[in-house]
Amino acid sequence: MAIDITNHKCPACTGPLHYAGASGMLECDYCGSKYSVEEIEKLYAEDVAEAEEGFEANEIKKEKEKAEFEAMGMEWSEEETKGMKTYSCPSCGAELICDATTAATSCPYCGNPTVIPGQFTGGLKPDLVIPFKLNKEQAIKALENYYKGKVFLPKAFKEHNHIEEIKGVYVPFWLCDCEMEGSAMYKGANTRSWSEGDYDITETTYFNVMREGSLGFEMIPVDASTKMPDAHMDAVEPFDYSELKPFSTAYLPGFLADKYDVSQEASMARISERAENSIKSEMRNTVTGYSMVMTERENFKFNNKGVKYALLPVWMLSTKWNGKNFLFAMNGQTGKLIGDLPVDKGKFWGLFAAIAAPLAIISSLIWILL
Amino acid sequence: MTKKIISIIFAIVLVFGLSVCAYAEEQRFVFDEASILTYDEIEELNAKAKEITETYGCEVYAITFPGLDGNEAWELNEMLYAELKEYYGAGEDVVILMLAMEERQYDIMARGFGNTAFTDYGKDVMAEKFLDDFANDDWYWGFYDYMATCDEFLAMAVNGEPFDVDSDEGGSGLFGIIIAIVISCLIAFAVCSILRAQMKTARIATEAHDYQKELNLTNQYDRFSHRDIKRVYNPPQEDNDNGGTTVNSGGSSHKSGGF
Repeated sequence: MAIDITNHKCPACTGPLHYAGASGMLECDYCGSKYSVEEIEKLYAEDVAEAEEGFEANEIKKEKEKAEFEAMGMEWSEEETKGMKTYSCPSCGAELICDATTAATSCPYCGNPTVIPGQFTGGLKPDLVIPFKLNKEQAIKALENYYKGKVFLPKAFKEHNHIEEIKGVYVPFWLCDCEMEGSAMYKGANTRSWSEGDYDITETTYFNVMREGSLGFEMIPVDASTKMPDAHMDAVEPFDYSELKPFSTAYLPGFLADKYDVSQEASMARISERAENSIKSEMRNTVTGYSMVMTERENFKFNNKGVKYALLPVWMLSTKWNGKNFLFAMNGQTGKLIGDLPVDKGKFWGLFAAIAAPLAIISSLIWILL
Repeated sequence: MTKKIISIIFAIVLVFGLSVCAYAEEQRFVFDEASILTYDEIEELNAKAKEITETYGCEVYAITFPGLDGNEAWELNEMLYAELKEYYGAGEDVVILMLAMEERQYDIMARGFGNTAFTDYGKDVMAEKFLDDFANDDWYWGFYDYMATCDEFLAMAVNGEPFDVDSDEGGSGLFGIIIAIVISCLIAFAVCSILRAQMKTARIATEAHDYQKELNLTNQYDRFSHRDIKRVYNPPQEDNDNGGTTVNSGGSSHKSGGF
């Protein structure tokens, strides 16, 4: 079988290399040598090209073998192989069984970081990547800090739960340049009141308000992986786009990476919804000088100005407590950490009582005294 | 004007004269000259008024009359009291609720110990209690509420603490405490909810403000459409913040209004 995956190895000692966010270089786990992304790109250009070709050749070969096995009645059922692919580790020869979208992983036998460049060939190749800046230890520390100040967090959760899994993932994102244009009609009103004799008079003056225009957007991100929960990926935003770099597989060793499995077209609905909500609130903010504003009609059109395919760094941390999984995500570039925590109902109602009881006593006393 | 007064006095004399004849054997406290109550209702209300009168030594009257005939409600009530005194032996310590049906006007008049028991604020509170019944033509329950309030206020006055602005009803005090507790609970729940919201930070983004450029407005206008003017009648409020009872030169205090 042709080689379809690549291990980035240290040119000095052949130890596995991984990308280190702190130095921005690929570092050897064994001898500590450091190499720039450009150096590794040059060194491994041939291997990557070979793996890309091998990936295509193997795809054809695997299809052929599958047909042969099917004819012999030995093939796995389609349900069993659905969404899975097999590769051979170039370091130890072990068979790696991965999701169909896996683009970077590590061998479970020898631990070598492996990249599957074939997942990024042709139209599947990402345009851009933001390299990981924060490492695993920083992600764990961030999670510990995240627990602090959460008054309703069960004590046992902090003490007894442990991180089940932590993985750095280059998540596929679509970054969409777009523009919303259109118009909105509002009814503005101003009210003034005064008294004349025994009559209270209220005068309300109404205005027809119109706004027309456009609002441009630069690289609205939307995650293109069905494996990643949308709420978690949206909540770790924003990324600092000034650190976007042209894509290179040299950023991948040491991390997981997936290719997209949600198409651009399928992602447009979420992007246009966000853009539309933004222009609605921006236009509404221009309607000032009224005590009351009612929106009467809004009509906006979405213009897609171009989409880029990017891999963005996210640390995924999962913990288990009381048989329930808790998933956290940390922006691998900015360190923003999000995730849902359990609520201790006893603490919730305890604090409720601690606030409500003295307030009720004080306000009742004030009422009685006044 | 003089003619009118004479005619109304004549009517009053006739009314009370007939009443005296009809009920010569016992003192009456309810006079339904507008015929809006049934016989049983009159008897029940009369029994209650009598009981209150005997308990506190302050006479409690309820009178319905066909119309004001050009007088103010308080004027008619004073005339009615004069006739009650003349023909019926009404005392100096009284409270009278009079309804003029044609104009749908009422007047509460108090004298003597009535002035002590029914302060200006007390009369306002009393009116609130019966006005909703009278507004619905529920005459019996309106008078029933009036008498129940008389009972309550006279009891307080006899105990030396007449109902006034600084001695609000027990019910209102309890209501205030309940409101205070409810508001405290709402504040506590709002604080706890804000803290609980911090436990859930994974949310779908609904806007894209981080990625937007400047809004480019190509066309805009703000045009006058129309103007609405609403006039709401706001009758002058009697200032009774200081408590007490406002007594006129004739020794009576009044509270009048529509129902």
